[in-house]
Amino acid sequence: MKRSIFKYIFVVTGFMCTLSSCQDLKFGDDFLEKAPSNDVDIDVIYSNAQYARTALWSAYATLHYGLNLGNQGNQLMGSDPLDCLTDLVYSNVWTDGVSGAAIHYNGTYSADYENNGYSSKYSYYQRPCWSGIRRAWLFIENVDRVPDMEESEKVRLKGEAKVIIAMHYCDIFRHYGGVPIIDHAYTANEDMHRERGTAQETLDFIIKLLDEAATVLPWAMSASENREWEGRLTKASAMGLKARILLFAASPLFNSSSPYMEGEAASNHLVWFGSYKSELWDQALTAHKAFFDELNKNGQYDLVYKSDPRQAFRSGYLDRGTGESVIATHYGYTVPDYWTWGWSHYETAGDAGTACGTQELVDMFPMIDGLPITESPLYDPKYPYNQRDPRLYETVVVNGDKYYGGIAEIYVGGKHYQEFEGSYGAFMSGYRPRKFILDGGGGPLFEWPAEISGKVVQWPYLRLPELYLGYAEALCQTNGDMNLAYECINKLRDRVGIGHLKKGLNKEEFLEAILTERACEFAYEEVRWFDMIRYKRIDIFQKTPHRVVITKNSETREFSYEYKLFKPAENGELRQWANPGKFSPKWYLSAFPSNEINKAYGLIQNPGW
Amino acid sequence: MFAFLSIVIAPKVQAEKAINIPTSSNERTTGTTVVTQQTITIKGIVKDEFNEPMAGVNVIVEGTTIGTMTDGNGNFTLNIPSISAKLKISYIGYKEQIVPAKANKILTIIMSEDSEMLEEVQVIGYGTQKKVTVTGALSSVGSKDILKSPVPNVAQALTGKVPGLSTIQYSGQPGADDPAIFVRGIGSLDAKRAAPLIMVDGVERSFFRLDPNEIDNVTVLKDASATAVFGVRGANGVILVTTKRGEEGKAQISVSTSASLQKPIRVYEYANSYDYAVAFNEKLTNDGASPVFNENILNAFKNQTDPLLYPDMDWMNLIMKPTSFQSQHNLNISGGTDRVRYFTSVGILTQDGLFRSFDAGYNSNFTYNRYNYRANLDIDVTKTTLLSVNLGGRLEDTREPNTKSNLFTFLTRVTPFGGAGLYEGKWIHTSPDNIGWDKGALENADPFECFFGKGYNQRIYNEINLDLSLKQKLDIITKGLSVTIKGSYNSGYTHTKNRYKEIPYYTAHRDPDTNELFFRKFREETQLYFEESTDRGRNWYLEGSLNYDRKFGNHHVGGLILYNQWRDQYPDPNQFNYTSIPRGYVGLVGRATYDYNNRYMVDFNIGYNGSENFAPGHRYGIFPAFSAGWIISEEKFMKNQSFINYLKIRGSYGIVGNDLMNTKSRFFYLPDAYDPYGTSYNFGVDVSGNRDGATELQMGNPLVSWEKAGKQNYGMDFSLLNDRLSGSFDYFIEKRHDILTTRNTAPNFIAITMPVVNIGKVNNKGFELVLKWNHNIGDFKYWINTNLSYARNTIVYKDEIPHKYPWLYETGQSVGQPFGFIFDGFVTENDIKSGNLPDHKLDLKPGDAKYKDLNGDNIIDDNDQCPIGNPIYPQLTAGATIGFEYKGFDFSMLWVGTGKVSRFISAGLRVPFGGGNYGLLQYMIDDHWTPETTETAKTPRFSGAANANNYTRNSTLWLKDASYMRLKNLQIGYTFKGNWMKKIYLKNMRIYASGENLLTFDHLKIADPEATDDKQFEYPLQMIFNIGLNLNF
Repeated sequence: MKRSIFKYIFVVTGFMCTLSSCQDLKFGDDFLEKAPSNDVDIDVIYSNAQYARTALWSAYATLHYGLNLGNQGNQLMGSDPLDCLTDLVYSNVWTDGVSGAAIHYNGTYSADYENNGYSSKYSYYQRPCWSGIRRAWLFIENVDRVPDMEESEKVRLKGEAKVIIAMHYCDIFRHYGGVPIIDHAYTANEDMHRERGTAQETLDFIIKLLDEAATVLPWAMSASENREWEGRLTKASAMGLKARILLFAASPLFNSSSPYMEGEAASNHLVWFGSYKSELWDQALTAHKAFFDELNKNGQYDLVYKSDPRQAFRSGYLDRGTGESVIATHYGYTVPDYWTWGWSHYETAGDAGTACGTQELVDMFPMIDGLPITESPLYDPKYPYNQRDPRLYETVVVNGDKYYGGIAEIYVGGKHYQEFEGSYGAFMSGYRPRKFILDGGGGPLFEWPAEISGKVVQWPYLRLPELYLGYAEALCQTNGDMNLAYECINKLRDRVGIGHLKKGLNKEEFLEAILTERACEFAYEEVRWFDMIRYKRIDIFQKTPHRVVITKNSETREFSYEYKLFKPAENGELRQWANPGKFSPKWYLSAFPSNEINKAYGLIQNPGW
Repeated sequence: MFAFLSIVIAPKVQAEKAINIPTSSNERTTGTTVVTQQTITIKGIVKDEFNEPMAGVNVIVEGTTIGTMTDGNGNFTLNIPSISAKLKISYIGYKEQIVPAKANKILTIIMSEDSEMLEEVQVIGYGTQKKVTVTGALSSVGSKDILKSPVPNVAQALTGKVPGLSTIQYSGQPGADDPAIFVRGIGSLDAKRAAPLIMVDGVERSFFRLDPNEIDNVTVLKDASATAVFGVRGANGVILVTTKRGEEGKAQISVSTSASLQKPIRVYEYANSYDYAVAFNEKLTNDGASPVFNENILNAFKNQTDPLLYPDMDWMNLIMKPTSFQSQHNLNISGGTDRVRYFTSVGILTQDGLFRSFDAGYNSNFTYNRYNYRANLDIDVTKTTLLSVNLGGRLEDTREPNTKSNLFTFLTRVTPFGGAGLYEGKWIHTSPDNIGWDKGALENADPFECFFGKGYNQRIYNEINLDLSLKQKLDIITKGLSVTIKGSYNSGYTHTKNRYKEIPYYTAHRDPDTNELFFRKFREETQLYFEESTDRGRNWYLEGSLNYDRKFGNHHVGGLILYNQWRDQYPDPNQFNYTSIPRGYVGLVGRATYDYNNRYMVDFNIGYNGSENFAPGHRYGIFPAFSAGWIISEEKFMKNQSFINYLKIRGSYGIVGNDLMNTKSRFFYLPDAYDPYGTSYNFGVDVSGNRDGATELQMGNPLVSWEKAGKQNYGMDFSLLNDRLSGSFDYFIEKRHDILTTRNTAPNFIAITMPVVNIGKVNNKGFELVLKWNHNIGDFKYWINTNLSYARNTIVYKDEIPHKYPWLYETGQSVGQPFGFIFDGFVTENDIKSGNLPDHKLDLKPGDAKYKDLNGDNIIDDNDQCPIGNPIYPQLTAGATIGFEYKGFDFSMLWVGTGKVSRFISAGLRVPFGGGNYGLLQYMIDDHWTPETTETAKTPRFSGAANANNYTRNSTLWLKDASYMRLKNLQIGYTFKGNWMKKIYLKNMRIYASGENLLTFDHLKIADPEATDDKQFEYPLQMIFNIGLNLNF
């Protein structure tokens, strides 16, 4: 018996020794402790400058990029550009209702759709706006404890973080009106009841952030800094954005004697200012003037000029670091040479036809003498594309223009002709988009965006021409110096070498001319939609746009042009807004997801949704 | 600790024994017999084999209700009517004796233990228990029953055999056919969190791929008293698998071999080219477009005049063989000397797939070969020291074709004219020049495009399980005490080889002038490329325990205290984050059992567990469970009848826990973790690299702790009519609370990935009923065993976003409850004329589906969806075995069924042309609405534009009753016994034929009733025809 005990002890001891030779053998609570690893928490992030900066870069990564991106959280509008909801662009959407255009064209968009949908124009749950705001606040709140960062850098980076917050608020303000004012990074246990700020409170919040940022940020970055850091926000960004948002706020959508639509949100002044306030236009004017005063003082931002006006215009919206974009956002570096998930705009717009230009867009471009086609003696309906504003050719591919090393043949039987009814394609309206896509590639069926491949690109979030036109508009609205206003518009026309705007327009005509000029300058750049809503342009919403069918006379080799309505395929019944009784002002602003309303923390739905 | 407690208590119990024993039995006995005058008084004493007097033994006059019980000293006195009477002496766990009554003499009866009954032990968590004294809810299935099913995966062999256990098999793919297993349904917020804990020989590991010949027993622990010892992981039930061990004696050699044919239970039936084209034209016409298939093409499809240019392929028939082969072989040898006992086994499974390889120069069919081996050794190192060594392992060799995308999904998307298969060694792909059909669509309309000539993948998986345990009896300290140390190491290694290539395809054309056939070649043949990768898994387990088991007269006490820890070195990245950090558990287990006289039982189990997911301070959970049982049939008042032979009632209550969530999260408590490379941003004019962006991860919750389940179980075991009818009934109530989940109602603007909190609540209730009838008529022995299980859960709380209408809430419904629209018939001309139709957001035409407008707002939208049908997990499962044996013949069949379960016909099987230009099932043509079939149509009209309304929306139109009844298994065998065998040392030989999944009765028809509502399609489930031979030497 005793022997067995010793044996037992011997064996057990041996067993334990073997086990304890494993170095990490622990028992009880120690065993459960998390093993050392490379984990990083908030304290690690703000323990050194290198890490801390990356926290701000992650906030930059949430900024809005207007071309639809397949694999990011901000896969907005499905596969379509925002401009396809305007009269300028038509999306040949798939009829099953998933595409961004379809959900708006066919009128099925609703607050419930926002719960799970990813194809609406704002896609509330998909946009990383609130996480961008949170990341920026977390940075502002924590960066002061970074030991190895210069105070001046901390101040500057905090300024950039504030502009990021303001950019998200500007986007959401233009789609929703007043929203909850988030002035810090929330913790999980905080009181989460927070109602929407009024339109005024939200605007004030944005302006405050931008003013604070403008006082600490450098006006622009030096050329050498730009090379490495282009895309970071500057004082010009803050001041330019302030001018843009004030112009939007001063416009009739929110600044009127009555709300655009009755509803709880309207009675609480969430979607308008409660009365007409002429001082808003004054503020818009002041902001623009302040920007241009500063620009005149410091320079560094200017339009791109080149001997070829087409190249100048193209470079202005496309190239990084030219000084034309006051705010530019980036996605990746270069456009891949083949369609890659994440750059889906180049496939869907360039080939599938989600961004076909309309006849309305084409007709807006003036003749080379600066007069509209309806007034200019240069215009010949037999040769509608001759002697036009060069911006036309850079916005859409027109018949007979250069295209993929050759000539675009967009006539019946031509190499690039695509029938409107039937399959889909980028040429089916008669105008393939060229902006952002440049020339195509491949064969007649699959036109990969060959010319754009490998190019370093940007999203021109806020381009200098918008501030020129905004200045002109604010001058006109405040009965200011009209000579200066004309000068602003003509500055853009000079760049592309066309005649000046006809003098002597009355206020109404001048404002209309500005909207047209904006359409010519900014088609596909997310400007037209906001122009349509801020001026409550029901007339444009209810318009069914046109397309062109070009036929070539085989004997005379002359082209004839037939302009047809985008009368959609029988069942698609797209563009419901044009049908009588189908349009409602509720479409001006987006709907909050009904789930978000149902959470009952005080969010009030926008009128009509 | 509890073991020590019981040790302290035990002597006191012994001391009080004399007082505890009922002393009134004599009086009571006298009372019952006082009615008869002519009585003889019989006296006797009952002792056990060790000459110890036995108390509480039943003494009954045979054929009467007169009886008594022995007192504390084993004595009895009985007044009987006549001297010719015989006495029946019975005691549970002992052999029954019948002795003639003798007057004037004190009878001495020595009871011998009924080894069969007493040794019938039940596997329980961390040990075994005598079956009669079990108080928890558990069910077992033995080796014999498991081996009846000729299935490649052991888990499939449990279907219908274990009450309370339900299996759902989604795929029949060789080597990838693990079913989902649930014990008592789903008790948590979703199915992912409801997986039971599976242990083989006391260590967490899977048993699905073991050789069934290695398995001795599979036990399912269901209630809290059975699973409390697994505290942390016990909430979803526990499945304990025990492998076979050797017994002392001559070597027993068993050889078995079987060969089977496998055949898909159900294959989808597709439309032919002509019907497809007509239907497609119909869809286009309905959508206001012009038909793409002209008269010439239609005729070519119909008459098959030019099958290379206008093919009509039955792809399923071409690609799939009607049957595939499977074989299983096993050799095992067991035996032992007085010091060493062994069980060794080697098994081979070969399983072929259904796909033809078409002589591509290599085999790309699905195959699965498995080689299992095991050696279990028990060595008596000393008389009191037992060393057990288990070495088990397997090698799996799985092969599958290298495919462009999921093969089975692809197959639902092909069209009958997408290609012409092989012609003179050439792969013929249909050219868009011949058929006016989209080029991109045609590319994916030919199933050969998915797999043909693309190579294959081979996966070699090698797993080794090693257990070492040392048990030392410590009788020198106190009798009945023992200590055990156990260590286990499991290692898995995967080696994947991927071989891929491209081969050319051809399109067939005819010269427009000469009508001569010519081919165009596309792509070039490449060599067979090679790629490989490896993966590994490793985990280990340590356990130390003290065991106490002792009898003090009629008092039997047992105790266990056990410490264990488990570590997984490479957590599965599909399941967990922080894959570089090993995962671990520690636990302390206690058990105290007491039974008096095998009649009254009380058990107390406790688990004290820690989980890495919780912060110190909230890390440990105590999971206690009490249970008690009473064998009523052993009471004297039950001895007056012969109807009930055995009756036990038992009950338990306990709390068990769960520490996992359905997300990949671990370390729920860690504060404000960041991913330093969470995102990136490209700055600069011409800087190719992105700048890293550090992003916040999920918030930590230092207060989060265990999910808890309070479980009640009330059960009864019985046997009636001379043990012919036996069975059990269990009723359970489970209340799960503090379920680990995240809040859903926080405002979106706070933009926090919400921390894990303990807020969810789910209730689960149900019952299990087992009824067994066993009867012998001469040599004819037959039996009917049935079981029925029911479990229904209800979500009590899940922090749901408030809804506008009560019918939108998941709270109050069962987990897996389908929601959908209520189909309200097809739109008619009259409907359109009346203008009363609610707005379906579609210009409705006759033949479109219309739905009920639940909220009366005249718009059909998400607010009009309500719970429809039953949950997608079966609430009712049943199994019935019927069998007989007669003179060497044996026959058995197993029927299984499920009920109260619904399933949507998945989108891939209900949307015509897949919403574009994919495949078309024949039923879609047969059932769809046309102006001619208005009366009989079952599905809406063809229209691409109306698909979103008609086909994509989940509605009662697509929800089917998924209950089914299956002849799961049928077996006929004959066992040869004869003198001629002895010459070749053969003990016996059995030949048999069996079948699996032979018949299926269901309502689903299109797909298998077990298949889920999922967009991903799987290899078809199989029926198996098998013949086999067993030899025992």
